[in-house]
Parts: sequence; C-alpha cells; structure tokens
Amino acid sequence: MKITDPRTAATGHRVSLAVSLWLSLSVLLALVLISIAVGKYRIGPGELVTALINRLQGGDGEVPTVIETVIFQIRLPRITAAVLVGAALAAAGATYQSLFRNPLASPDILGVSAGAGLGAAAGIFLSLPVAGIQLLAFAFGSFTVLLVYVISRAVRGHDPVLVLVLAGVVMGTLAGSCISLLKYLADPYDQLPAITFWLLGSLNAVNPADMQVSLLLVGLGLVPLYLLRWRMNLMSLGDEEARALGVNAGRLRLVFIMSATLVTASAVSISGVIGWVGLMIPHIARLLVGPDFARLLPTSMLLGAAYLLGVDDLARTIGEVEIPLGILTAFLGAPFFLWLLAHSRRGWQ
Amino acid sequence: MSIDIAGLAFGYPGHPVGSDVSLSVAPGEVLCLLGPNGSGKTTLFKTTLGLLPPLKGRIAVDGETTERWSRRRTAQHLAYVPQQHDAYFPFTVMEVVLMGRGAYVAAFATPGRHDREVAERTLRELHLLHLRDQVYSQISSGERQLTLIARALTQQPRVLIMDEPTANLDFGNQVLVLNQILRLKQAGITIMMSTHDPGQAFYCADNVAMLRDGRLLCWGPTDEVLTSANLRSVYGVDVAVVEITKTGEHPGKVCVPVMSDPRGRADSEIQAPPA
Repeated sequence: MKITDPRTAATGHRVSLAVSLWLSLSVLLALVLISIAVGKYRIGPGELVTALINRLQGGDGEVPTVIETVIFQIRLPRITAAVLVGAALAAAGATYQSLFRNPLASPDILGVSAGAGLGAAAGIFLSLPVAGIQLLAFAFGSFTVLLVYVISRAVRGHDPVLVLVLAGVVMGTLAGSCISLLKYLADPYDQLPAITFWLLGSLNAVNPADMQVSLLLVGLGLVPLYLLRWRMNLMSLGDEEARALGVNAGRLRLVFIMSATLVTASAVSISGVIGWVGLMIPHIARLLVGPDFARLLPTSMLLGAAYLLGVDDLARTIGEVEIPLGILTAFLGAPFFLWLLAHSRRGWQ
Repeated sequence: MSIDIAGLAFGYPGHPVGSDVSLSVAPGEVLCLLGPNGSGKTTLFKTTLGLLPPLKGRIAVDGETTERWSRRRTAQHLAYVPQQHDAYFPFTVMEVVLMGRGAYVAAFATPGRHDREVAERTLRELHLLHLRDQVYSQISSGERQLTLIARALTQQPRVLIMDEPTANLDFGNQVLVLNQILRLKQAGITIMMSTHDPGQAFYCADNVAMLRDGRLLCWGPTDEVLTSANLRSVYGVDVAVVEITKTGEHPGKVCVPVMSDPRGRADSEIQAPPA
C-alpha cells in the first residue's frame, strides 16, 4: 500500500511558470481584442479584423475613417497605457513585497504616489500643459523616494528596512498634506476638479506621444529587476541572512528601490494614482507560481496588465459617464483582500 | 580553517555588547559557546561572520584579518546557521537550500546545473531529498533546522557558525542535529555553536567557552571547563554535572540544573559529584 504524505500536496496547487505565462498571456490578448471592440462606439468582430488586416497591409482606405480613428487613435493608445501601467504597478508591488518581506507593501510604500500626486497638483495649480504636469509628477515622485532613502541612511542603529518604510509613511503623509494645501488654494471651478480627478486615476487622457517616453522609462526600470531576479529571493530573507549568504544587501536594495521607483513614477505620471493593483496582483501571482521572484515578476506583470485592462474596460463601459479607475480598483480590491485574509492561513501563503 | 579572535569588543554603534574576548578555534574543532540569555552569544557570532564590524580587536581566519573581506568571499568560507525562524514567503526546501549558492552565482545569473547538483547532494547527505518540493514553512521544526544546515553547507564553507541549532527541538531531533555536527566535524569543518544545554558540549564539543554579560568567563577543553563551579558562576544557579552509563557504551556526562523549591521542600534526587 502506498502511503501518501499529506504534505506532498503542499505545492500541488502551484502551476509551472510556462503554464501560468501562457495562460495569462492568452487572457491578456483576448482582453486586448475585447477592449478594442467595446465602448461607446461598438466595433464588430468583422470590422475589427478588416481594420487590423488593412493596417497591416499598409492601409488603402477600404475601412471607414471613424473606425480607423476609434481603433488606432483612441482605443489602442489607451489599451497600451492600461497594459503598461498595470504591468508596471504589479512589478513594483512584487518588488517591494519581496524586498520588505511585507505582503502589505504596495508600489507607493516609499511615498512615490503621494509625491507624484503632489507634483501633478502643483502642475495643475500652475496651469502647466499636460506634458509639464506629467514631468512634475514624475520628478516629485522620484524625489520623494530619494528623500526617504536619504533620511533612512541618516538614521543609524535601527533596522534599515523598518526605517525606510517608516520614513516612506512620514513623507507620504507630508506630501498628502501639501496636496490638501494646494487643493485648498486652487481655483474651485477649474483646478480643484482637475486635481481631484488626477488623484483618482484615469487613462482617458493618454496620448501616443506620452506613451513612448513612459514605455522607455518603465522598460529601463524593469531591466535590473529582471537581471537581479534571483538575488531578490535572498533579499527576502532579510538583511542579515542575505549578507551572511554573500550578498551586498545595502547596495542591492538601492538598485531595487531605484528600479521600482522609476517604474512606478513613470506609470503614475501618465495614469494618476491607481491603488490596489500593485498590492493584490503579486498576491495572486504568488498563489499561482510561488514566491520565487524569477517566476513571480513576469507572472505579476502579465496578470497586472490583464487586470488593469479589464478594469479599465469596465470603467469606460458600465456607466453613462466614465468611472475613475482608482475608484473601481479599490471597489474590486478591498473585498478581494478581505477574502484573501479569511481564506489563507497567514495572509500571504 | 582556524579562527582567532583577539581582544574583541563587539556590539552595535553606541551600544557595546561585550568586550575583551580572546579565543581561538583550531581547524576541524567544535567550540561550544555557553551563556545565559542576553550574554552576547548571537552578537559575538554575527561579529565573527562580519555582519557587524568589530568595535575593537580583530578576527582572523587562517591568520588573515577578515574585516575587509567582501561579503562574497566571507560567505564562501564562513556559513551561518541562524536561529530557526518562520519563513516570510512559502519557498520550497529546494529553493531555500539553493540560496546557499548566493556567494557563487554571478550577480545577474540564476543558479545553474552545478549549483543544483551541490544543493541536491547536500539534501541527500542530510536525508532531506524527499522534502525538496515541500514548502519550508510547512515542514517540522527539526526538518527546518536541518534545511538551514543544508543551506549553510551548500555554501561549501570551511567554518560553520550555528546559533542554538537545537533550540525548540525535541530529544529525537536534537540528537539528529548533534550527530550531524559530529559528521561535519569528521569532514573537517570547523564549528562554532551555541546552546542552552551544556550537556551537549560533552557530546560533541572539543572546547567550551562561557560568556556572561559580554565577557569571556572561561575557555578551554570541555572536561576542564564544564564544571559545576563554572556553570554556577555563568548561570547563577546550581548545576550538577552527572556521569551516566549506557549499557555497552563508555560513560557520558550530562548537566542538570539543581532546583530548589522556593517553598523550602527538598528537591532533586540527583547528587552532584564533589567538584
């Protein structure tokens, strides 16, 4: 008789990396096609295929201009943005969760979102053009994290990770107060709604030109994350153990923080603050493929992209007016998280 | 590999834990470090591993000061078995053990075939291979301790520093770990370990050092140092050193605290031999 050890089922629910990548990639592709089709102006499957083939063959004008415009000027840039922002936030979330050994870490744990929000609010307050607002958001987001890092280096004799996270909370709150001050001072008919709307997060104002810069920056941030993917596992054991295992933990942490900040700041500067994605997607990815960062990172990115694309489709189709993305992700994320809390033994297994 | 600690003051910046510690460990020797909670055993270990800079004095491995060694070089020579802990993420046993290759895998690389072979060989030697795909946090604490030892051994170190390797283990698992320590000693690995059971030193240590309030109380061959008098001065309670005879084997010694009931009744049946 064969005796089965109940513990052999321990990793049984995990799927291989290949399976999870193919699965999430197909879901993502299906969602991309659906996202092109749905919206105020409906595009049938036949029209979609004709328009895509036409484009691929160089385009000779057989397709109505309306459809051309809707697909290539409005929907595809927005889809690209959703995919990019979703993947970026999930990657940054996975990074911080592993780095800080904290399943509640999100991309904005070091204050990048609050800083970016302050930058955007300042841009709107100064009536800058869209590109200027994005630039300020990016600069303020990165600068906040830099400040947090410098503060954490200045405070010695404590657990460096703890100091970092606490400094992040403090700076984030401070940036939040500055945002409130700007809102208080802003023109209530014009600027205040714009600031509020920006802080809720949305993808309806993206244009193809922004996308290129952001794509480049997000890509730039992802390269070190990918290259150092195995080292991240060592970092997730904590500073002391990582160092005992031969890792220069301090330097490595700086690289991870810089990369995650670059990724998040570029994403936030085009979409505004979108919460919950970077918090919940890495959890789901970890349930699927386990905590090994080499598998966690790509899975998180694909899932994050698909998730944000799906939520953005909801945002622009379920109501008469578009619902801000950040509100929807919170409505979906909060119950999910509570469910996770109730059904997993320790919140992150 | 030999370890020489000379005039060492150790601790944290602005918060010294101990001072004036001088001792050495010969190649292939097992040194057992004893001392009450908070006496500085773990901090001394961390300093020896280069995780904390020495406040004063020096630490040398094979005569070479280690203070300026890179993390990578240190980890290729000295491995650490930390006190057992909960894993934060559900890594499998194999994933945990592979992390011992951190000092060999290139910065941008992932463990290769050779690293996997080393990890697998170590798991086989420790009879853990059947657990390779189990989640580390879901195996028994004895198995977890052995997994941490396996991780340290995949560093292919010459020195192993073990912080209370038998803490929280039942008798069976304690013996399992102690026997493993004896096997490692046989393989020529130098070992520094700490424990709260002084009797374990009789079983596996060549030398014993006792630490109290960050100072070295005594250090020397196990049989000379491990006396009731020394144990009393380090722990502050009476400890009996008792010889026990197992049938067919040569006698061993154990240490038992002699408890006196605060209500004044007579206590232990065990008679301490004259010191």
